[in-house]
Amino acid sequence: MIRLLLCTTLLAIGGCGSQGLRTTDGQYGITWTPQPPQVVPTNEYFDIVVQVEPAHGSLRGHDMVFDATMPAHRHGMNVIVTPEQTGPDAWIVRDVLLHMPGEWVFDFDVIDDRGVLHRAREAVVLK
Amino acid sequence: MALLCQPSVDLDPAVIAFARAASPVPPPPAEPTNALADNPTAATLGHMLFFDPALSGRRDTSCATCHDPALAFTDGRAVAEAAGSGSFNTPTVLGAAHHRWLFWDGRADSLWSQALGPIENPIEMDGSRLDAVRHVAETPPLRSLYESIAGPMPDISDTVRFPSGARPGTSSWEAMHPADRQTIDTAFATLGKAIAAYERLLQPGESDFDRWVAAVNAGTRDDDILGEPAVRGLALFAGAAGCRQCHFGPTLSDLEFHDLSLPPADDATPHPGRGAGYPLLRASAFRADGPHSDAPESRKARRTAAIRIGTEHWGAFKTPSLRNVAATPPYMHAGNFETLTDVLTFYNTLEQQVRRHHHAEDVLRPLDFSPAQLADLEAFLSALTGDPPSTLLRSPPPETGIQNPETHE
Repeated sequence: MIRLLLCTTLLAIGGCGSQGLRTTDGQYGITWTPQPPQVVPTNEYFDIVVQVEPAHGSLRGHDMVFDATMPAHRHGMNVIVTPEQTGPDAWIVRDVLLHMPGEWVFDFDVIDDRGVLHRAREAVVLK
Repeated sequence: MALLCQPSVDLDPAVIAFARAASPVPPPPAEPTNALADNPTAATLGHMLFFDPALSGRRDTSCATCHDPALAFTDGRAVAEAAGSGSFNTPTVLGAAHHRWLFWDGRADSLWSQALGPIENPIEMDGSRLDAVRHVAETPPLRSLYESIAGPMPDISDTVRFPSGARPGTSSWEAMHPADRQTIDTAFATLGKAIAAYERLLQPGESDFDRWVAAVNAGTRDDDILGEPAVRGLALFAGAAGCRQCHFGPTLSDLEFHDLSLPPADDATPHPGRGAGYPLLRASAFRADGPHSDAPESRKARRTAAIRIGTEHWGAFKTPSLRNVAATPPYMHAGNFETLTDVLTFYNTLEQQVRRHHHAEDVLRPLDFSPAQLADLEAFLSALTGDPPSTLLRSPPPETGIQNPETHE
């Protein structure tokens, strides 16, 4: 099940980002915040700060990969983004560009120390 | 008692928000890779070079030949005709400084880099970078301006070391010492930066759409400024027609690339679009993260390095700005359609689409609009025609003595 996040101007007043997102296997929690933190912009470069929280007993995340696509349009971003690790469980994804309004799907892939991928997915609607 | 003008068409708040985000056109964005971008002396030099046919191989074609000020800085042709026949429709220079990528296929990432391409293209001006630099060196007014912005002009009087006609791909260029090639490249880049400084002054002028938005912003919305058909057209553009998916913001463009699956003009071989432009950009010495950039470590430069090319980019072309669109026929990257009516008819049915591969993006749906709705959309597009730049900016600088034979004024 994909969560749907509506990043409209009104919601942006309270900030747009996500807490409580989990990988489908429940092993990792994901908190992501756009920078600046007010809104996910349409067709403007911005950064995303990502915090990964391993559930009790989970292996620590060894790496994190981010991607965004527009499944309905059958295309993704026009930029390659390479997350930069800023702490044991923290990354920053620089220069994300979502060039169209509409529904984007964000994938946060946590790769654990064994190389196993754990995916958290969230739909974000840009006006 | 004065009568207040009542809006004639009900508009959804989202349509008003769309319009307000699209007007006015702000100044061009900062351009860190061009230290001369906002230098008035550089703009003067660039203005002279823009109208100077001596930059072409036959000394008969200037930038202004195809970017004719009297035709909103286009040429009115389906595809460019200069030293040869091109494949692409000539885009306007008005507002070009706002674009993230240049050329229909995005082969340049800055206005200054773009300005250099046509000078050497065999089917455009068919000149050479060496001859262009030598022309500036040997023309006192140009040389004086050059030296005031870039320091002493290099001594390229030795025609053995610096052979006439030398440009990449020629044996004379390849035979030059790498340091001499570097000297020419640096000076050539400066010429491009000067032309870009001039082109940054060619902003889209205020249109009826801008005047209508200004009235909305002032709380005095007056639909007489646009006319009812254009107001209805705006509502369709930002609503049911879905134009705003790609055409939004002050330029009314997302500045990126899309595949409309247009029919090839005159049964020509389909062009790979962005799929071909990207390798050209990577190969260019004049890119934002290249050796002639004034900010090769800037965010702009990093963004060039981070371009992603996927299968959906094959056959994709840059979304054009719709500013002044009614003044710049024909339309689409290959001049596929002669009129705006033709363009809207295409979007209305998509009957002429040609799917060339199964990886193409899937954005368009037939509008299935009535003739009256299409007419409203066209009325809105026509309301985007802005006041032209000043006569001074649209004319060859008087000190050049150039009488542009191509001008239609």
